[in-house]
Amino acid sequence: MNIAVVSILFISLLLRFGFEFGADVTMDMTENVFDNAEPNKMYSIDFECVDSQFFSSFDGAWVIQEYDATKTMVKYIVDVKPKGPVPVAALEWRIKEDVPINIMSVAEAAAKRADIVKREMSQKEYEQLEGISSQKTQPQAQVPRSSLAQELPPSPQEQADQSSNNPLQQLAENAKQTAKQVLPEPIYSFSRRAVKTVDKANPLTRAAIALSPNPVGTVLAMTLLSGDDSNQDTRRSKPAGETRKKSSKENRLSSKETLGNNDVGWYEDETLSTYLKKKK
Amino acid sequence: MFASPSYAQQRTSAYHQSSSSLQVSSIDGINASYPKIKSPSNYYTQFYKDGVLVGIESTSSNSRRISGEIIIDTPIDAIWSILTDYDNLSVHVPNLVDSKVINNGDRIVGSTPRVYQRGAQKM
Repeated sequence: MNIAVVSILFISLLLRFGFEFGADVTMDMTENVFDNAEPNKMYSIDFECVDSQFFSSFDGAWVIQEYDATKTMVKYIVDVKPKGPVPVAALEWRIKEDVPINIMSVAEAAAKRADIVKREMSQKEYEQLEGISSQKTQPQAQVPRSSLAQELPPSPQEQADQSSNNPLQQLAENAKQTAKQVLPEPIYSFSRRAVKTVDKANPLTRAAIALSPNPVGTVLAMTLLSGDDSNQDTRRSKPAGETRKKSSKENRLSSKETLGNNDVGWYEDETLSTYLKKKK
Repeated sequence: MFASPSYAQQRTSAYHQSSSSLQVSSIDGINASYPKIKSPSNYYTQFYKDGVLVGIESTSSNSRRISGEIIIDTPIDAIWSILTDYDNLSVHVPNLVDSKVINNGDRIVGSTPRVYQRGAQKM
């Protein structure tokens, strides 16, 4: 009987009994740093299988060598020999798929880590710069604060207060909150609209409002004349929403495309039998 | 007999010129235009898969040497830190369900950690 037929039979038997090929390997890792490889750094990890259910041999190495400051060659080599009745073709079929996936996932993880390291570095630099600038400017400002509140650490509320420094803004925010709670909904929304119309109005109109004999009345009239803004917004937002949906769909598609390109094809649509047939 | 190393280098450099970072967008094209290379008697096979140059060598009728090689735009130390972080390797590598150092908790430089790994391959 031919090897291909045997391996197909074997795999179909495994599938028949719901078997999942989960190869476990215990390996001894030897880490090497090649000092004599200057100027290009070179590291390697030799691994040697000491115990495995599937492999009588699973020995190999990771070799990484620096090309320049940013480019690195990554090489993975493994010698595999099956244990027991497992045909070598099955291992070959599986591992040839796994090798690029493993290398690429390690590469991606490393790229992410390098990014994080870079960001941390820039953060440190930024903090250093910030420290220098604060040393220059802060001493005068800190004198009254330290003398007043030396013993009392700032409570969370105080800290929150400091974060929004402007007391006027705070007052306005508080007023808004109380208004929202106290006033009935239509009145509240109308007053919001009035505030908005004043905000939107150009400086000249604002000046006109301020100079008019009855500013409040003018604002109310303006708000009424401007029409129901919220309704207009919803009317306008409908087609806008559609376009947004479309664009998001497109975005999703495009991101999928890029993902598809970046993605490592986890499982190629190639069965063991077709692989062996192609090999022939 | 086999593909000359210059061929591999050319292809790898072509790939890296076409992409500035870890984008593997041009690889389908490479796969399409550079098909499998085989030595007579199927002793050695070489092909590109996801930008990685994969080689399969029949070292005997019952054993194989499988290799993968790529040049990536990442500093060497970042890769080294990922590869030697055995306890977290299964976080990065989707084919690994489990990966852990089983002999010594405190790592000494130059020691040989014994690592247990379990794959997640499905047939």
